[in-house]
Amino acid sequence: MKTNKQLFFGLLVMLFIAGCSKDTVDPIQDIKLGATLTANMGSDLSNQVYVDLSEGTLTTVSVNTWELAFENNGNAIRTNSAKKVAVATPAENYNDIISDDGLEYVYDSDDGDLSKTALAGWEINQAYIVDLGVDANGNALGKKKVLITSSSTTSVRIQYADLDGSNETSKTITKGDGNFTFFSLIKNESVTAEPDAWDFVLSAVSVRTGAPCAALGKGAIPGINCDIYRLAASAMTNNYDGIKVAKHDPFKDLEQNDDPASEKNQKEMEDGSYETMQLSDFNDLGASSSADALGRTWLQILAPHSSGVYEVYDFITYIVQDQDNNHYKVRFLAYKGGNNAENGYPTFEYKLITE
Amino acid sequence: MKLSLQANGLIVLCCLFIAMISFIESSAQTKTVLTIVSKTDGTPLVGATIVPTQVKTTTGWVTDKNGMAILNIVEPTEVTIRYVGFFEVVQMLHPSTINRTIKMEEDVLGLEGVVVTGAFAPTTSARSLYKVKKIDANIIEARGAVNLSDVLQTQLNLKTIQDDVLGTRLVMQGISGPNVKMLVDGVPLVNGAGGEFDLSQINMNNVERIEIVEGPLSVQYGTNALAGTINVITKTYTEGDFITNLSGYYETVGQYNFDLSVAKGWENTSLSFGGARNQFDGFSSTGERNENWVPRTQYLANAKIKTSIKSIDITASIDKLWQNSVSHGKASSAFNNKTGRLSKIARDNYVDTDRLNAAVIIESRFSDQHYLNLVNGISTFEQGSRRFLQDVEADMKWLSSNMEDHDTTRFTTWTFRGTYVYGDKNKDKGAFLTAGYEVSLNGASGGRISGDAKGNVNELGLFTALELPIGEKIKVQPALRYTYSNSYNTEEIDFLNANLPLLPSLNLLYSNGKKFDLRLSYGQGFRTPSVRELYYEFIDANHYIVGNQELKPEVGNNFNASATWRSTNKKSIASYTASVFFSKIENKIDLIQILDRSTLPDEVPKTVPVARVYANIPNFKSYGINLTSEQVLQNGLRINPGLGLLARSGSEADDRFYTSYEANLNANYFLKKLGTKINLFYKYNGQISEFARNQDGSIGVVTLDDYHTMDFSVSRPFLKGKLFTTAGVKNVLDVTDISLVGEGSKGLVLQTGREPFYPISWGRTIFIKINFSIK
Repeated sequence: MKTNKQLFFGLLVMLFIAGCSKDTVDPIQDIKLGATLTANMGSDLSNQVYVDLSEGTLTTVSVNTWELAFENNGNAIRTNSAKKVAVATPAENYNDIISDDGLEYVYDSDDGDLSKTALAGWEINQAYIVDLGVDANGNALGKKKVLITSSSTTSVRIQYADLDGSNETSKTITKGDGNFTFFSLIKNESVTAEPDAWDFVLSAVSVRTGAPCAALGKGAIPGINCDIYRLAASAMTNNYDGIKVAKHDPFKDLEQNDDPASEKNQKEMEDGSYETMQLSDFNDLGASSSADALGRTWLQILAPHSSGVYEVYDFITYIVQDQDNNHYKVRFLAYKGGNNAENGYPTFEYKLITE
Repeated sequence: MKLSLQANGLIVLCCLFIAMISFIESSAQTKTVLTIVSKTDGTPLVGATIVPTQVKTTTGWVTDKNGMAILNIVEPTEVTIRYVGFFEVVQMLHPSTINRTIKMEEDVLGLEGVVVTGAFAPTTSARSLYKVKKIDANIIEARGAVNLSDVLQTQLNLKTIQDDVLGTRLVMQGISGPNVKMLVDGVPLVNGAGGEFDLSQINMNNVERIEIVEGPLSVQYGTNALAGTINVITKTYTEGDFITNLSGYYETVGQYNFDLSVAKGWENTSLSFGGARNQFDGFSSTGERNENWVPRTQYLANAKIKTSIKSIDITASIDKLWQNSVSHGKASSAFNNKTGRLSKIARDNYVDTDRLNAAVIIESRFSDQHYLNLVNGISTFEQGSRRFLQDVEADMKWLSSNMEDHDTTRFTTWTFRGTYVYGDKNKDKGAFLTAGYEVSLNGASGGRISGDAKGNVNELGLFTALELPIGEKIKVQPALRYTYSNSYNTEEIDFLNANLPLLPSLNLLYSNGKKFDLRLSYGQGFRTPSVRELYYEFIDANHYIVGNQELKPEVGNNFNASATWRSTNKKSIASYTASVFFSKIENKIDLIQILDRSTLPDEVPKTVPVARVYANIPNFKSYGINLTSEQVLQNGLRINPGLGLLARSGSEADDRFYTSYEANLNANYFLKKLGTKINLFYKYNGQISEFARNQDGSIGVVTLDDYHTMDFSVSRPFLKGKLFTTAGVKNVLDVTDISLVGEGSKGLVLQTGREPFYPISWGRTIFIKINFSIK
């Protein structure tokens, strides 16, 4: 009898839902092309895609073209975090280096802070070992010992070789026009890696997963059970050129995690405020000038990670202020895309806001 | 009512008529009238055969519809009386005997039923050196079983594992599927995708019975027969049969099956054809798009011809399966660049599976002394899969442009086995000598087989066995098999630590009539690394699963003891069996995780989520105890309770044993007046753990929680047996997903291992099967 009652109520509820669903609108969002762009990072994240919102252009650059980037108007050196370039500092002199056994490698901070790069605070004639990172399939590209022998406002002179001393090379790198001069230790030449004007770049960054080695003590095997770095897709703003971002996340107080059932992962695009965002919100929300102001906040992998299912927080609206003081509202819509609907094809929608 | 009165009248008339004839005849000559009845309830046994025991003759008598036969004997004659399902009776008759009623005892425990698995020549359950578990067609019918997986679900020591990609796999005595030999009429079947056999690909519509032997039968069947052997025996037809059978099955989860078979038997030949269509709509326990039970449609066709030329029986059979299934992916948010819209896109794999089994079997009993059996069979498995991208909102799909997303792989096994048995004239008690050969040719080709695969994995086995009686009650049988393989060094089998490629087995049967019997068996089993394990190559964006050409064969040692007591009293017949086994497998082949991803080849992404390789695990131990009973009560109730304990350990478990308990109860009750049978199938599956060493040296254990399964059904014939209906409830307790607890690299669901639960069943359903047959 009791089950009959339950059944009856169940039916009622179903009828009610069925009745309601007729009134709901078509969930497919009508998106006008031109305002919606898909970046082809590739499922292996082997491309960096530079975005210029005012021109509506995407510039796709292969990741595995450079290792070191020298600041043209300063002394900072960035490493190519998009392919896991890392730096170790050996105790020996450059000529005495034969191996990197026991050395700890450091990576550029994934927040893009220029003061926290792997080579932050580098010194003239201090030997470094540069791990050249990995190719698109994750194969190690080798290691070089590197010495910066001189540096000026217009050029940098470096000397480098394989760890066994072979392939000894010396180069004078002339600093170019842009913000950074990119150099390939593999091709022994400067390369062009970024366009003149851009607002943010969709790129992989090296991110540590799991425990830091220090926490494991004796059992620690760097790279095997601790300090494992993997590549994660991120959107890094061009803060060097003054790009600022304000972020509106209606659910910023909800815990963000990889549980597919957690509350934040249930939220939908309709829960966001993209449509109503105004110019005044840029100041009200408070803009950030850090490089990871977009960062990885729009993307969350869901458990189990091996399934490769990502949640894109399309309810978050970002307001990007470019170099010319234009403001654009941006929201990420999907991480899957391309011909085979694969991961690594972030799609975002944006719109100029003038009032 | 009127009709049955008429029928009764007819019977009475017939009886009178027969009685008159027999009276007239018996008054003319001295004739003997034998009436054969069942000891249980005195009903006449129609069609019982009466054959003179001593005389080598084909003449004999058959009882009529009153269970009577009229014999004209001129001298004292010993006759043997046989009736299916009853113990045979040997009776001395004198010409002076005029009337004699013989009561035959029903063989309710099936001791005289024929078994063929493990035995070199067909024998009976009672005489077999192996404990053969039989599942008859009526049990299959009562379960509403569609395929082999349905039948095996409530058996002790057996577990079925559901995988959304690989189908239903088997675990026997805690050992996974590739170590179980799958046979149909003694012909080995090739395993399918994943190296495992998909039990849902063996259909039950043409099956006479299933025989299961636990423990190794490698001397008889070669590789894989290490944990056990399952032999599916198909129906055969005899003279005078002309049967058309049509059946339909519906289950509320969304299964719709139909099959049709036609069989005809002549004097020396029988011919049968059959076809079936099985449709399953799929089931997703989570309600998500990716079903854990994928939707599929199967088409089956089979044909069998059997002919006898003098004393030689030749059987040719062919069995074909086509299966289309769709593995739906989870739809997730993606930008469809074809429509320019944000949508939900899933990856769906469309899989076509093709199975062919064909065999020519020649069997001959030239005389009581010579028996010959030649089995020649082929089994092929071909699976093609294509990946489509499905936009679930725009309802459009397109083929993936990645070549690695599509594949067709084919596996083939040829088997040629010959067995010759030479025996004493006294066929029950004498010695038997067996000699035989087996050639097994295995090949594989297609996208997921390494280019390094050099031809086939071929094997030659030569075997011999000697069955010797010791006194009246004991039989022993030592047996040996020599093995040669082209793909690995069979000296690794290492018999007597002397690098001999020989496998031994030793069996002993002590039988004290119908009261007690004891079986002891020691056997070595082995399993050749399969073509797949050697040369598999499944590499795509998410997988790197490869074979290993360095693999050694698995060699298992197994000791088995089982004792059965039987008791008969006025109210019931009962048997009690206790059995115990110990088993140790060296070099068990397992798919293990590749821990150090930097060892992967350059062309493989180091971040690939699944990276596994086949490897040998040094040793794997298991032991188990089973207590089972069968009770047949006079009132029509038959119950089979059982209890089981299984403990497993291995080189990856630091000699810790992981135990699990099982209990089952199969019962049926026959309501004679209504002609209705009520069936109950119940099994308790205790917690079961899988274990493997983690990267840091600790042992990772994944435990599947315990659960109960119960099925209930009622079967009843209508229209004088023309229509047979079985209806019932499957999974009465409504079990769906059972949780997996613990951390570990390995689980029962190792090959997919994506969810923290394991799908046991699709929940409670109601089924009905209607069988219509015209004779």
